Amino acid sequence: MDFISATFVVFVILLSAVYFITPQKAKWCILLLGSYIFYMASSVKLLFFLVLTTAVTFVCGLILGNINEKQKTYLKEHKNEMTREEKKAFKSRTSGKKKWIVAAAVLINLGLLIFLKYFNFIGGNINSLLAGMGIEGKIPHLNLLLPLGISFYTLQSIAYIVDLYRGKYQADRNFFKFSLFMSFFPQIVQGPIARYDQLAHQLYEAHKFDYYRVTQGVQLILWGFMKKLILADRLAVAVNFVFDNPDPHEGFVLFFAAAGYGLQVYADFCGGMDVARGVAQILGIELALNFERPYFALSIEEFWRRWHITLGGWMRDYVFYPLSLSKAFATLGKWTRKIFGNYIGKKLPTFLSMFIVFLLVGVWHGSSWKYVAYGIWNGTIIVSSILLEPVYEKVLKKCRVNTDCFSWRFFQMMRTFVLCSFGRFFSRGISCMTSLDMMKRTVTNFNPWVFFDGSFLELGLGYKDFYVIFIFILVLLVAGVMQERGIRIREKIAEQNLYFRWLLYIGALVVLLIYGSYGPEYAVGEFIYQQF
Amino acid sequence: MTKKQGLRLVVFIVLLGIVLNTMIGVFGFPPNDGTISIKKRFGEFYSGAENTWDCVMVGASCVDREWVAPLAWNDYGMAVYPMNTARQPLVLTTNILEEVREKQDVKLAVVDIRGIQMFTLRPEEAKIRNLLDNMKNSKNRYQAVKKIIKFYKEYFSREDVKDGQEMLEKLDEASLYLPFIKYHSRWKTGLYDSDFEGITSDMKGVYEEQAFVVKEVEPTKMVDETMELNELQKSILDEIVNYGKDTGLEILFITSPTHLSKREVIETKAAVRYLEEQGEKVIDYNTEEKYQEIGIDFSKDLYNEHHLNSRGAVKFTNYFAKYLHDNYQFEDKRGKDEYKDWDDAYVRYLEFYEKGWKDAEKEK
Repeated sequence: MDFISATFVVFVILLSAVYFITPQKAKWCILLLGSYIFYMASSVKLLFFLVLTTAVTFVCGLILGNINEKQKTYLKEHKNEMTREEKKAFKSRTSGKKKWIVAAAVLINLGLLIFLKYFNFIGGNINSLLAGMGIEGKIPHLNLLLPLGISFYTLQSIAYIVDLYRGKYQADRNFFKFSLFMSFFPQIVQGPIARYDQLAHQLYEAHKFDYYRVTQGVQLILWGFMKKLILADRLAVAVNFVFDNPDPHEGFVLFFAAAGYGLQVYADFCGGMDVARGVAQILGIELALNFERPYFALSIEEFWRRWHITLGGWMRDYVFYPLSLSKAFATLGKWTRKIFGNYIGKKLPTFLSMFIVFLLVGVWHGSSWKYVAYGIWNGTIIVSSILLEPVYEKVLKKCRVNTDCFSWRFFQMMRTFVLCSFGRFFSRGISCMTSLDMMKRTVTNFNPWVFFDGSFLELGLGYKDFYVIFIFILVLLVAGVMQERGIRIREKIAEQNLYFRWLLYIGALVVLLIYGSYGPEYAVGEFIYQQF
Repeated sequence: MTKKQGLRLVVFIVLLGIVLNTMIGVFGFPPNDGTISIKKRFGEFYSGAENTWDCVMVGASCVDREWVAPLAWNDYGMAVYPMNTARQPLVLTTNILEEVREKQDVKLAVVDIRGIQMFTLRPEEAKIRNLLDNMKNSKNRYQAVKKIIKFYKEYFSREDVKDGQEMLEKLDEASLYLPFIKYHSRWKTGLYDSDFEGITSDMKGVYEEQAFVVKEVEPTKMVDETMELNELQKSILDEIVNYGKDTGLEILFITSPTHLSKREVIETKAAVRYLEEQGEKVIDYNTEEKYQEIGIDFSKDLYNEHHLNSRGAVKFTNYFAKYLHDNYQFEDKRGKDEYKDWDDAYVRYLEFYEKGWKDAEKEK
């Protein structure tokens, strides 16, 4: 069941109606039932994998929970009898057991993801490597289907297990309630990647019908649909036109395609998030924010703090910190300090962890070398910009550049936009080599006349489409500036006169229905992140 | 939710419904050069007075090219309206008849059966939309959409259809049920005044676009070769026959006079023979004898190989109107107040006809 479908709209209306008339205690059952119906309507064959991950995570979580409980009780009971060293030794013993459980859960869940998503990629590369050495590689290519949302629910399950290992909260003891946490339908398709302590209690609580909250949710859904249908799917026409056959295009046309793809992904993913959050809000559940106006970022590092926030947060908590604070990295730091000096030695564990994080983010997007390159691109820019920060500061000081003004911030924003856009060559290009070639032809062919000779009108979009794109980007920009200034737009709208509000709602719906890219003349794509 | 909120919600939904309904009406079937006649014809049907027609003519494009309703009205006082559409799918004949009978208590339906040829039965989007997208939303329209989708799938699943799979993938069911899904992007090509104001035919469905073009066409060659209709063709004709029997509507099958290729002659004659065997009333106007009786001159009376021009239309109308008058007891309604628009249509048609041929002469 696609978010962009009449079926989904009807499904949400019916589910909400049933949810609100169901007795308090059974409300979560409706959400569970609805979530499984949603999943089965989209991917009934691959439901098994979701159930398997849920079961493995639940059982391992239960064991971890029991160990935590026992450890806590034992330490409480023997508080006065044990010395500090004995307590430490006891904790270390139980921690060892817990590590095995965590390893098992992560191995099974992550193993499933790696097998289904990366087996053919890894196998193909091993075969190629062996062929290069004159040996015939025999790893077969399997016809594997990727279960809907596996990249998202797997990370969610790992976060749950690791948090239990860290004793952050108690384990869930109700399998069905836990199944709801793992399968909640608005966020299973493309996130946001939820944390148990943030989402689960909201799902299990009974929420009453709240007129104001429902209208706010509906507005968010409408806004999400507008981003997806008016901007993302319209840009997709020109972007696909160029990326599917890049050879005839040069210079600014290629850059337009890359930048356009960046905007397309933003409108698509952020729009999808708005729909997910809006649906959840109708039901009284607040999902985590996944975007905070990333194109206002002043650096790539900031961009990634504003883009796909829940993935960034997950990487920070479950990859970056464990790595950078690990004994191995500390030893590495000490060793490099001796060779390269204090600055590098101090920063190296952080840089390396950061680089690994971005490499993983790249690979998480898909099983292809282009995603590896995408990760390397982002990792390299971030690491080098931090590394060279003292140099920049010196240069700016020498050149007497005022960095405390709008023009400088605007320059930084544009610089980030251009760097991000170049990175998109990797994520959208057909292959790594094609992407590199497109990048090269973008910078080596200076052709500003394409802005005036109608070249852009040969990319599958008419000038009226470009007007729509331009106007909608302006609308996004104005909304973004307002949000940056701390204005809560939906709340501001709610303060306005009834007539104005209705005019706005009806107007927005009319604009969406008329200017949306749907119907037989458009190839409406599924949400991009749904494929990941 | 408080009572006040509930009331507000209801008012909002009603307002939204009005706005959306208006929008859907505006972004409908486009009234451009090729389709303006159809749009006008259906506009007149839906906005005109109820129960004023005697007879309806249905079929593909040849029907409005051959039938001049104002002439028949002026000569005999009969109200015979063409409800054809370009390449009208014969499989939807009963649906269009049902639509007509909702508003007009017609005694006779004239069904042109040239659409029975396998080539013309092929369901194509334009053919389907010409009819369905001009019908108002109703249970009948919904059933027509369901029927054509089923037919489309069956047709393109046949082994003898080469591009079946490709055509099946092209089928967009949702926009057949709700045409706005297709036409919402008409803002790109521009809207017409008639999209907002509506449009009707002031000459009772007379074809206007190429009525004054002359093309010399080779006369139809008669052949002795025969064939049998296949099961699909028979089932379509059976459905129309049964509809007539079930509803008590008298049906007269005809083949409109025009140039026919060898294949078309064989297939059309097979349909005529099949209907005659069923005891149905059929008139085949594509015979040497009928061409002569009507006075069809293949060097002057057609504007292309398949359609009569307005000169040919006048000849056929004079001939067929007399046949209807002689064989069906339609009341002469001339002079009645509720038929004033038929009188006006006749006056307009005369002006249209004279001016049309004058302009055509000038262009020569």
